Amino acid sequence: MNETFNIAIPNLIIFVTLLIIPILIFRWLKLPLVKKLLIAAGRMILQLSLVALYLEYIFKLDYLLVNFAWIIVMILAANITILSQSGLRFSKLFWVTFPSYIITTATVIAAFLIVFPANVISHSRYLIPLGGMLLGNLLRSNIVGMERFYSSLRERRSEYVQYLSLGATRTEAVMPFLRQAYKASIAPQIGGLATIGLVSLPGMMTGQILGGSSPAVAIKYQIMIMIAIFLTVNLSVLLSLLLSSAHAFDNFDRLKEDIYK
Amino acid sequence: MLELKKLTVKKDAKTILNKIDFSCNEGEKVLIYGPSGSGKSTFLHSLLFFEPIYSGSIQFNGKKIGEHNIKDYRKNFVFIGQKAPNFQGKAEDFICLPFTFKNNKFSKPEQVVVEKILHEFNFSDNVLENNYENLSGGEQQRLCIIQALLLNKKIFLLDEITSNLDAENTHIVIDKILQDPKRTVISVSHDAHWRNKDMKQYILAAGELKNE
Repeated sequence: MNETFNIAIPNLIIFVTLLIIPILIFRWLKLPLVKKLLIAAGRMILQLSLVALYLEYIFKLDYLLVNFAWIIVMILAANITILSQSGLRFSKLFWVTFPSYIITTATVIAAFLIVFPANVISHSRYLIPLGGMLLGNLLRSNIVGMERFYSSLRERRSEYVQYLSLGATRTEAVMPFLRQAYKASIAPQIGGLATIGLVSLPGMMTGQILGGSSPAVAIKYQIMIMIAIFLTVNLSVLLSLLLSSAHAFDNFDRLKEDIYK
Repeated sequence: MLELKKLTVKKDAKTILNKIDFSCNEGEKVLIYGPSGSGKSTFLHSLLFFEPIYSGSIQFNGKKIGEHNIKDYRKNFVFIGQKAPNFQGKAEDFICLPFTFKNNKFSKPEQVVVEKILHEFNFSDNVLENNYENLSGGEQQRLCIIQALLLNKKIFLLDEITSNLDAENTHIVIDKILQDPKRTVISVSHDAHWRNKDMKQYILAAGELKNE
């Protein structure tokens, strides 16, 4: 198949200026979103350009250790975002969430060996995009899970105390909260599995088809990545909730206040 | 049996309980009342170390309670709050919930015991089949109290447990709880029904506990 058509920079710039249309709409509706949009679009372009620079370099180098280092950097970035967006203090919980995400990512990447030979998956052009998709989903679902778990424990403290006073161990008393937070973070993923392909073609599949793959190859990748993402989300949310909750209480089973920002 | 020595509890630098001395013997029935916001709930929570103790100590059967023996200490108590907790499932599952915990696994009551106590609380047997969430607040609260009674703990800590009940049920609940001479009860309430009972009464105000 042909090489993907390369978009010319001037044409891309003209395309970006189409943003003037939503800006005019914002003006007309008197929505104070123009500044926000400009900053967000600027960040999008800057971040993607930087990533392109890195990736060009990393793909050329294609050195296994560098690939893994890159994955670890992505995990770190995801971890920082998860804790800050869920209102938790980085310095208190990083040491338990980071290993949770590392273990999860390592497990799922190891599982890729079922479908890829080791010398294929270890190439940066496989490892890094696939890893990125896993971590993007890990990020979103863990924000929901951590935020829900810790805010409900704080808001419904009396319920937690009631369970303890009925003889529950700390793990037993925390379980109803964990179950709810887990469900909140996983349910959208199950919904996503059920509707994929109906409403929109998934990004990865679109990318592959544009890149010249046949739809038959593309759907096999898509099925694999969906399962991998689902596995990632489940493992990471469970591990980080279990491990962090072991650190979030003092020796009297009281929730530590200093884990919150 | 239970002895507090100069117990001080602070929240955000505000003193809630100020050097409280208190003691109570096995089987004793204690009522604590006072203006709302005077720290009555904090007092009960502090007894179980659910609030950080700023200074002072709690002794149980002559032993000072701390990190090392907190779990065994808490096993003597059951705490009932003002409002029944959220729970999804049948009323029967709710009553049995504590017996799904490891600590209580072997003390699960027989069906006849559960039915007897339900009757004493003016419930019919088929209440067990109802969805807990569909019951009224008062019914849920009475189930909480039944749940606690079935656990058979030595000491009951009660935080305004009758504030959502009508007069008839309030009487039933209070009489049932005070009935057992061996049971120790520490109840916090400003309900007159409790005041008329034969209980040792204290007033908690401005962080200080005064004997009536």
